[in-house]
Order: sequence, then C-alpha cells, then structure tokens
Amino acid sequence: MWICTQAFHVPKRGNAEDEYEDAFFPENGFYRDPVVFRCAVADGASESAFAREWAEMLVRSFGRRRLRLKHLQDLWRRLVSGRPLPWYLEAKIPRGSHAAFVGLSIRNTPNGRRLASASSRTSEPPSTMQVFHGVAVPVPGAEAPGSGAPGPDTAPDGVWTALAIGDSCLFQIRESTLVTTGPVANSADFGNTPMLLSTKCPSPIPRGADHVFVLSGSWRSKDAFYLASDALSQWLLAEHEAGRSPWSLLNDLGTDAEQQPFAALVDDLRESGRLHNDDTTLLRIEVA
Amino acid sequence: MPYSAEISRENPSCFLFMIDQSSSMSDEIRAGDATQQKSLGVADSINRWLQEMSIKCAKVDGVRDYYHVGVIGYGKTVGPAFAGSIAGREMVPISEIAENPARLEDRSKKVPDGAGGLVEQSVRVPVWFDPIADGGTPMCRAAAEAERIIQDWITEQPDCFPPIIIHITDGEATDGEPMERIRQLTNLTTSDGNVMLFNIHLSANPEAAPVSFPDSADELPDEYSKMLFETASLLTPTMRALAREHGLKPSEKSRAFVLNADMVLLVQAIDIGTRPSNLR
Repeated sequence: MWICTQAFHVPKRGNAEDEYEDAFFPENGFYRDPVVFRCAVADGASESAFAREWAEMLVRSFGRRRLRLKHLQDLWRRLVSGRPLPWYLEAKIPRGSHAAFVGLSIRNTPNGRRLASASSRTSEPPSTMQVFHGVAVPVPGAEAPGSGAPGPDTAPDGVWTALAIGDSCLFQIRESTLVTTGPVANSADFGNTPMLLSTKCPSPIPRGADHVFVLSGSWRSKDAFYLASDALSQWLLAEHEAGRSPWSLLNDLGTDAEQQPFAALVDDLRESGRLHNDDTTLLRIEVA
Repeated sequence: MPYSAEISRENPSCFLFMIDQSSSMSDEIRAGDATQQKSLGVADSINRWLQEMSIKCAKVDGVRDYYHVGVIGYGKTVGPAFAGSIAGREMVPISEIAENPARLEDRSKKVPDGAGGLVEQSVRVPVWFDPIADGGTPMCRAAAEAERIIQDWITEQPDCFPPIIIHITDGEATDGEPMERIRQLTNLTTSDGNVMLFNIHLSANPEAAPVSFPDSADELPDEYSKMLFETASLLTPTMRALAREHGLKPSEKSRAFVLNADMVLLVQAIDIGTRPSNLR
C-alpha cells in the first residue's frame, strides 16, 4: 500500500492565518507500505477558547496512535490553566473547547475476508463488530455479499474505517464517482449547532451515542479519500446533489506546496455565495 | 434573504438597550419565588448579558468586536447609561466593554458541593450599568435618541446584520404620543433588513397574566399594550426557533413583544432577541 496525502487550508475571510482554528494530520507526505495509515481533520468551534489547540490535539492523537480522549482532555486543561488570564477567559475556560472531527484509518489487510474464511473453517458465525477508538463498529468487509461499494467485481485491496463527530466529512472517490460519504448525508443537513467532540464530554466516547458516527468500507488501488471541514463538505455535497462532479476540480489542485489554486477556488466560491465564510480545510489521500 | 449577513469584525452589528428609568421602576417584580425592584432586576439582567456577550466574543487574543453595544436610559434624564470609564459613550465595542467594567462586585452563588448538596461560593461579577428609578417616562425623547444613534451606526455599517433594539419599560409615555417615533426605529434599514425592535413590558402586578410573543393584538387589554405590539418587529425564523427552545410557541406572525413580564420572561426575551447565530 502506498499513500500520498496533500493538505489544503484557508482561514475564514477577514481572519489572519494564525486565527485559523481547523487542524489536520498529517501535514503532507508519502508513505510506503504502512501497516495502517491514519489521518484526520478537526474544526475547532469559533465560540470556544483555545479551539485550535484542542483541534490539533485531536488530529495528532488520532493520527499517531489512537484518540486518547481522557488524556487529551487532561492535556488541554493543563494547557489552559496556571497562567494569568483576563476575567472573560477565566469565565470561558470552564465551558470547555469543542471541535468537529473526522478521522480515517486505512489498512491494506482485508480483515473481512480473513474473518469470513476463518468462520467457514469453524462453522461459527463471523464476528461483524470491532472496537475502534473506543466505539463498537462493524468490521469492514464483513458485510453481507452484494453490499458495499460499487465498482468492478474484483477483490478490494484493503479496508478503511472512519470515526466522525460533528459536521466535518469524509468522501471516498473511485474513478471520479462518489462511493461513500458521511457523516452528513445531505447539504441541507448542515446547521450551526452540530454535536461536537468536547473537552468536557464523557471519556471514553460513549458507545452507541447518536452523535458518534463510524463509517467503514473497502478500497481499491487509485481510490481517493477527501476529509473536509463543514463549509467545503456542504458545497461538495450540494454539487453532487446537483449532478455535478466537483472531484476532478479537487484532483486538479496539484500539490500542497502550492496553496494558491485552492485559495483561489475558495475565494471564488465565497464570492459567489456558494461557500460559507469559514475556516476551510481539505485533506486529500490517494491510495495505491 | 434578510437577516443572513455574517457578523464579523469586518462587518459588526450592534445592540441598543433602551431602558425605562422612571420612578415606577422602583416597584417590585416577581423573580422566581421572591420579588425584587424592577430597576435592580433590569440592571442585573443587562450586566449579566454584557458579561455573557463579552465571554462569547472572547478568544485567546482578546475579545473580538463582533458587536458594539449601547445602553440609553430614560427617566429624569435621557442619555447613555453606562457607568465607569465608558460613561457617556453611546455605542461601545464589546472589547472595550469587557475591559472596562465600572467595578467588580462580590456576589454569592450556590454551586454543587460534590456530595449531592449545594454550597455558597463568592463570585466576582462585573458591573457596567446601575439601577436608577427617578422621574417620568420620556419615551418619545428616548426613541428619538435611539433613532439618531442607530442612524449614525447604519451610515458607518450599511451592510451589517440589522441592529437590534431591546426596549424595556413598565409604563406609558409622559412626553407625548410615542407610536410614530417608535415606528421610525424599525423603518431604518441596512442592506440585510430592517432594524429590529423588542418591546418588553414589565409588570409589578403579580396577578397580571404575562403574554409572550403574541401574533395578534385582539386579546391585548388596552391601547398602550396594542401600541407596543404594533411597533414591535416580527420574530425572525431563528428567533422563533430560540423561543421554542424556551418552551414558547410562537407563530409566523408572532411579534417581538412581551406584556406583564416577570424576571424569568425578561431574561428569556433578551436571550431570544440577542443570541448570536452567525458569528464569523
């Protein structure tokens, strides 16, 4: 498995670069034969204090190993305490910090096929659940025959699982066609008050909580995944719903060494009122 | 679509509180199981609101000026009602308000003791606005002042989310017929819609039934309450959603008017009128 990632981001119009409060992981890179590859995007809530720091903690923790929520919450509390602060920040900190989050984990080991063959030997029903970052989720590839992503009738090259809380989204693209998206299904479903991952929420993440989404599936060589914060996700879904295909536009952005084409695209969309003025982040992951 | 402009430091909006400070504001008003002076209850509500708005707009690098806020009082005099170093200012950026409370007062607050009970804890609260109850009810002059202040603001910020005026009163005008004056306020517009006016009427009569965001004047008791209804703005869809959050049942024709409010309804009405929904 080879993975190539490119990250693009633009702060909301009127804000400086150091006021950007989304976060992404990894910065960029090329990875050859990783056993598992993890990446994430988080969108720090504008009304929180120390939101960028919280978003960065989330994506780095997920990307490097796993989302150790309790540990991160303690870390965030240590970060914001023990320094002199004006009264309004003293009053704000107990309210915590909040972020939308989507993290993707990609493996080239098709667990589902292994499980299926193991169960056929033992005549036991296959286990279809696993625990992913503290949440019970279906095992990718263990779905019923005939379900799963459309595409040529060939075996997948690997499996993926994603964890999402809030309105940052994942898109899986195969041959310029949207295969999977989530956790928000329609562009009309974006609102100003999604449930978010908070420095105050129970840890570990409660299993079965209705605001915690786990997505999973299989991938084939040359698939692309995109992780995007809410404004861009909403536009991508709206384009898809209108029968247009924005994916080639994203594919043509080049590398993240050159952020200008992405900034120009975002400017154009904001100017025409098609993209909310918000911190805007896109993480492109190509897998082969 | 009106009332959809982003509220940002580049394109801030404003709130103007227009507060009745006539002598009748020294009467008592229901506050939960107790009562308190209307003027004191209003001052507490506005100070808490200013505190909350400062916290909402606060980021690590300071308080961001998404809003400017003015408070004008009308009673013995008509004019700006902030105390402390911002006294005399008509419209003040929220960052300056946050940095310049007139004083910090110690108040007691009940907090969980960790063993299922409550203990009293002393907290320091900022104060910007003091209670006053003195003189008549020069509502016409106050409306004229408000119109001038908002017109000046709109000249500077023609594309802003429309200013919201929160008018809190307990009695009839003593300086003429205020209806046309007050109506002028909501005739002012930005490119995003008309200025919005909330009329909040307070009652000292514990028997008087409160009326929340009515959609018709038919059931209102007198010409005075009908005037406050007629001049109040229609609630926006966002405000109707907030009202439903508070357990109220507004309709599409509901107006930003409450009659015979107690302290609970006063705080609810201010929240419905001022909670930010599109800060950027």
